[in-house]
Amino acid sequence: MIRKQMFWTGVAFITPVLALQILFLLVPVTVSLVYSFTNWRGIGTYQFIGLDNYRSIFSDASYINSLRRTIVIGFSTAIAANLLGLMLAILLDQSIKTGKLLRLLVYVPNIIPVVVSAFIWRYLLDANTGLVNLGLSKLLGLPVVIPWIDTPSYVVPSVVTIAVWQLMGPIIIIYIAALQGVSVDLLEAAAIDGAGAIRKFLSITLPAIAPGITVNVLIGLANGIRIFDLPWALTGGGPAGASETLGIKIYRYAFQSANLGYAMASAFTLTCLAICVTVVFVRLVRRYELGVT
Amino acid sequence: MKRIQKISLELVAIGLGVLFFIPLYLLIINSFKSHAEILRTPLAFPGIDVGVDNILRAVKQMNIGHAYATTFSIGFVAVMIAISFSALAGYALARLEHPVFRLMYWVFLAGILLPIPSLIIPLVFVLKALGLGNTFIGISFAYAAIISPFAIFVYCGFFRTIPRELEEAAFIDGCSPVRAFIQIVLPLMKPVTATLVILQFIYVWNDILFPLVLVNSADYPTVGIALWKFFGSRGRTDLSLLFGGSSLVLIPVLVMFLSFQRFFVKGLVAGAIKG
Repeated sequence: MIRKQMFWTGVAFITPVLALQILFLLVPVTVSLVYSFTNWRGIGTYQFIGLDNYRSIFSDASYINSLRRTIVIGFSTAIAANLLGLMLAILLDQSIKTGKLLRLLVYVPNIIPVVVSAFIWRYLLDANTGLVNLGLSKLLGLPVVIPWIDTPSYVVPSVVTIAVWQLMGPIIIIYIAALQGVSVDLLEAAAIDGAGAIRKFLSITLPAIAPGITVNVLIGLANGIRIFDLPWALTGGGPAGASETLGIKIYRYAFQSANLGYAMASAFTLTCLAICVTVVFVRLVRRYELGVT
Repeated sequence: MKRIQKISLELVAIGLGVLFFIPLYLLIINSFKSHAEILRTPLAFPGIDVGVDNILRAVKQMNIGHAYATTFSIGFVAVMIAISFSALAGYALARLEHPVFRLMYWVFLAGILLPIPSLIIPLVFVLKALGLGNTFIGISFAYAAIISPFAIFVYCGFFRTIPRELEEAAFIDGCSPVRAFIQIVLPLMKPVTATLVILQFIYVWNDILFPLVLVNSADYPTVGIALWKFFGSRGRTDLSLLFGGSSLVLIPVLVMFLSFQRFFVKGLVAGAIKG
């Protein structure tokens, strides 16, 4: 009796959010799929043209470059944010006095509006007057004029650095929580058996915090792949399109070259990319977990 | 030896804290300096001659009152909808073991990973078809939809940490599931709800993609867009004004974050690790 009542109450509880997400998430994805096969220009009639849009965008060198760049940003953001985040979390886990304050300071970049972050970093990274170059010049004793965001070869690493700076807060919070779940008894027992710090970390800590690593890598990947506003506000996708991500490319196709078919095709490609990366990663994690236990 | 190690760890921590703090520090102190001062001594403390003049000028030129009101109302409606719907769904997903609900958990989880730039263009046409193009309701509901998967995930993880014995005892006494939710579970939700409200409100406050694409920025100037235009129209000729404007956009979220941050760790972690 109560079971049946529970079931229908549950259905009633998930219906509102399900309706919301079908309407504003699932329908748009479907729309992007359907219209990616048409030559629609936003108004008027259209024909289905099969895979022509995909063929066109995939033979466009600038599109391929932005696709590759998006993947590079996704992976390097995930890797850098996790390595740095784990190290910082371990440091903060050592019950140091300034830990609480540091935890707060590290979180703040995450709440600064992207437009503001972009402005501040543009100011910091300016080749001639930026504080980063001025600081480096003082430190090294010779003039450093690195065009951090004004040349194609430097702009992507700069974007990744800023993205990592933004993501550090949530990632560290999750790692700290995971580290606090590591069994102290086990660590002590290992120490008595003569295990060194590195051995203890690899054999006990790392497997224990594996779920936290999974979540954090996914956060890094998802944020890196969908990145739009940071390069948009930082450089507008420039210089010479060198920081154009797929997100920016979609926007340009839709609003600057008014080619909805291309925009829909690249939007659906981005969706597929996100799904593929996630599925492959989750599978790898599953296999690793099965291997461990 | 132990002592030296401890002290050096503290020093490393302080150094890192300073490094992370520099951008915010620059933003705050340079909001109270003149353009010439910013160029000459960017890191120094401000004198008293400028005071809040930059900020007052930015208030006037950005029409910040209108921007605050617009963004606040969009954020308020979006977060209210997302939080209430997600709490219900999260509770159902945490408590019911039926295969349908297990599947739904993964469906909602997939929603977190959907890249927003890939939704945004088709979303314009979906909203238009619904008669919600360039409307307050349209953008608020769209925000609610994209922030709710994460809220469901966190709520679900949180509810799983609450022992179900409490509710089961109530069922035996003849309490309905809805009443059990309202009377037993709802009062326990405060910290996690506070965290989610803040995080998601901040997301809406900071976002520029939706207001850029879904609405006409003259009708709905959100703070992000107002600042974006403000920068665009001024270039780098008057840094003092740009710093002042940035502070105007940052201050509300910073205050909100600082007053709620004690809930943060507890609220976020429940969902991420146990989920």
